[in-house]
Amino acid sequence: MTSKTSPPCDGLSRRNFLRTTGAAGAALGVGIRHAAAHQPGSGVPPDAQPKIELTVNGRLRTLTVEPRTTLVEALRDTLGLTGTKIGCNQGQCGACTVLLNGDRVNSCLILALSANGAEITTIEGLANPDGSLHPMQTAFAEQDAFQCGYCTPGQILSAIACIDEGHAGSADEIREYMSGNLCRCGAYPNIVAAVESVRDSKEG
Amino acid sequence: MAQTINTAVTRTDAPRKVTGTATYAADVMPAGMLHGALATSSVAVGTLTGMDISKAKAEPGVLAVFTHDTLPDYKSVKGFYSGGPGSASFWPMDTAPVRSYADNPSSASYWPMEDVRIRYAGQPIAYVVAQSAAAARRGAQLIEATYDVSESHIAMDPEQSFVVGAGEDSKGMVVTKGDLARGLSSVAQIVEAEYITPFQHHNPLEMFSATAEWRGDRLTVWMPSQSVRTLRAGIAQAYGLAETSVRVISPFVGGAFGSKAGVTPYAMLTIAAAKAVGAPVRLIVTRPQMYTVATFRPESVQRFRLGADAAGRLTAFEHIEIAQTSQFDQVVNAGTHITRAMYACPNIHTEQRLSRSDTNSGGFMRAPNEMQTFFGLESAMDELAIKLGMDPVALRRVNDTDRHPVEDVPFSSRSLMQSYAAVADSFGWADRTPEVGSMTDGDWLVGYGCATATYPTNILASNARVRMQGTGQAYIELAAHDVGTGTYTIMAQIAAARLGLPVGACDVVMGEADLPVAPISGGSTTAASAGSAVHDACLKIGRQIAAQVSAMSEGPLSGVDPAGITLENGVLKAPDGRSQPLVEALASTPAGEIEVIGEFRHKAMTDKMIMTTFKGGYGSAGPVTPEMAMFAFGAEMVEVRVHRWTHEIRVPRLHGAFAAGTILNRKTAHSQLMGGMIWGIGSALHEVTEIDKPRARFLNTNIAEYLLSVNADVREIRVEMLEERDDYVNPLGVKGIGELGIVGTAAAIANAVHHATGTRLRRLPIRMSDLVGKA
Ligand code: FES
Ligand code: FES
Repeated sequence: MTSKTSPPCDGLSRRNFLRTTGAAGAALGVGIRHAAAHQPGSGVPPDAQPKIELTVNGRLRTLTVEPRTTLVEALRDTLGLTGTKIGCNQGQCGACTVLLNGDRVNSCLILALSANGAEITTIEGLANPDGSLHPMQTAFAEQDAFQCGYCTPGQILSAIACIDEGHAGSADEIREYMSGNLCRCGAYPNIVAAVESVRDSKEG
Repeated sequence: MAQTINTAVTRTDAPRKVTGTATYAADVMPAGMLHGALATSSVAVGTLTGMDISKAKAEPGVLAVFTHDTLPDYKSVKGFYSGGPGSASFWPMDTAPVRSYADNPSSASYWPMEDVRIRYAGQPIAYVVAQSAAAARRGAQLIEATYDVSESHIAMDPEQSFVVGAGEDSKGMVVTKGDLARGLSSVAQIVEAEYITPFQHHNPLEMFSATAEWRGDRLTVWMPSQSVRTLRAGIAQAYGLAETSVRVISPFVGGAFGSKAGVTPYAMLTIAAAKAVGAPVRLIVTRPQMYTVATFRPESVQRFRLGADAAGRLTAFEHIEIAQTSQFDQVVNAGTHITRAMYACPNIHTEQRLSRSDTNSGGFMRAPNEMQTFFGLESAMDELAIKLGMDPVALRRVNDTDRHPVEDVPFSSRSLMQSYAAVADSFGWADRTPEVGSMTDGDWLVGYGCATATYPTNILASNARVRMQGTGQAYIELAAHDVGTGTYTIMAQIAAARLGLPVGACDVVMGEADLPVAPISGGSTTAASAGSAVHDACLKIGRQIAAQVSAMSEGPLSGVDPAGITLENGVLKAPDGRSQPLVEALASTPAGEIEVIGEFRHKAMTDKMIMTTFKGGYGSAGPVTPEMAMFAFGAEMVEVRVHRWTHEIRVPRLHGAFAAGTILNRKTAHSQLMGGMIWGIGSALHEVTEIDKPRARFLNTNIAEYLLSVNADVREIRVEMLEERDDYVNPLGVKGIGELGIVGTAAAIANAVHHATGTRLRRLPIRMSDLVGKA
């Protein structure tokens, strides 16, 4: 028996994902349609590559990206902001969570081009210039809300957004609204405790 | 300061982890770095008949495409894994009963891209190097391969299974004590059942990666690793380099659970590619590829026959474990070695068997000997209790023992029943009514279940370098790892307690192969073994400084016989009551600074064990030594709720009590045990790598379809850590806790599901659909 096959590619390609999740794309409020016009692998020569502007952690950055570069790869590989992690590169784990114009998003699901003009907050941008930590960072440290720490940047940004969205009313609500951020080490109860403590100190 | 041990200390690396400044392997980008990507086989067994790489090469940004023909450096690796520290089977030990699957399997280990053979789906067939990660991945997707496809299968076939090893190697794989047949002939009740556990993948959140940079004949590799010295040994051997020419760097690891322990093909291919292109290359393995380029927990069948007299005393204990292995390795996680240590019984028979199928080789995944086997054993014990009409905790009590039932040596400490008492108290076990379905809450059927947890205490040789300065700083260096386990923190705590310094003044450097030898972070070894080496170094500092200050013409300890000076909580004390803080004494010496190497060698360690550990292998003394059996114990109780109409299964409460000797850090230990218990929930209800049997491939190779427990799956988890003293295991009295929490959870949940519904489920994971039409 002989068969001709290509090697398997990742089960769910990012392009399919964008096509099949119109709602999620719309929720991002950025130019998905524009970005999708550039097929991955369409091979734009480097000199014709587009420039984009991002305000990252309050600082305006201009960068040249391949059309197929994702936001997370632009942050990590181009800007060297490696605090944002990649756990799946396909929208399943939340490790790459950043705030885009204040909303939490999976930065592996967003093309850098489509984030042009956006304000991005990454884990590196949370502490004050004097080095004092954001309350959520302190709460995560105190509650031991991690073990390996790999999911932590994404969890912290997600947790901040969870409170801002008003989805931290109860432990149950926090569990639901933090379930997009996987933690393989199983720090969940401590993550919930960290979110609750920041919520309570805000209210108090 | 003394009280830095056994307290809740916040992780010393927490500030880095919450600010994104902890450096994981793939965060490093050496200048001029290029990106790698793997193309993998879409068929399981066959021969490559052709590969069209032209489209991949034409892809903008792609610089090179390597196949088995064109990756010249990799050829030198060929044959290396005949006996080397391979990824699949690198336990080269025949030192202790549990690890007696010596010298066997690695001779047949198989490495991809050596030639045209395909031996499992997802086997790497080509390596693409490009200017960006996206270009590399796209290049890999554009490679078209043709195959001559042969038949393949993944199907557990107990009838075709065989005893692990051959001849001498089989020693310890079939064990008989007493007369099983006689034991079975005079019983009041017998339970005879088969329990099935699935393939599972570790899925650490950090993806596998390797970054290689050559400078002439010197090589640096950044790779998440729970065994940097194993990795360095393998790389050096493969490339004919001195170990001193190879640096392996892995300061932070984003979870490992057994998946990042060995020398893996993706690392070797990346090193070869970097050499070929003359630039540093970083490969980040895709999540789907992670299922086939490393290892996994093999599926298994656990056969139990337990017989007991009317009082519940076991008179016959038979356990046959049949586990999946690949065609080219004998992957053995010897669970029967653990189960037969649990309960007193005069007639015991255990067998460790394997069944082959066409996959990459499995390996060890968190509690590799224990998770599967304790789902079987502790479910069978529950079934037996029901048949006998006994409370399941009472059944454990009648069969508790202070001697190893087979090896006939005492346990160095064993607090199983204390654990049951503690957890029963916190959980409210007394409220349980034994009849099936007797506890309901509206439309919810409520069940309470319990199970025993255990984990062997593995102790390995370790060194550690401690440098202390009279200014009150200490530096602790060793090739150990913090894979999320809190190692940075506990090493600092041990040094702080002994040297009399604040924890924050003790800097710990780990995760590099060049540092003093420390064992693999696997088998829950690090705190006990590497921690004991740090402890020893501190005591040595005390002795050396005592000798110096007692010889001085002035000072509080001047003229005292140094042999009588002890170091207690950072203070040097003479028998006559004179004393001096160590840091002060050190400051008064001419150098004002001291550096020593501490060593941990247990009296039960043979030369061969020590040598094995120093070579990057697993030279564990234990869990059974000629004098003692060393195990940590615990007990778990769980409340399960099954919805009467939808059969939805929830776990509102999971409690565990554990006794594992000295607890160094109550905060990080709590997290480890809790994390283990959450893994147990995953094993019980969520995790399974689905297989396509005829095509021999894994199906749900991502973390949306391979279900990991998410935040909403986890509710009340309570962890109690009992005080327990064990002077035999090591000077710190520490047993491992990294894997203890997962053991028993799945059985406790299955037992609770039975209690709620009357349905006995003997296959993991337990799904709603298993209860349809039954509950
Ligand atoms: S890396 Fe983006 S969701 Fe996993
Ligand atoms: S802390 Fe390791 S994945 Fe969350």
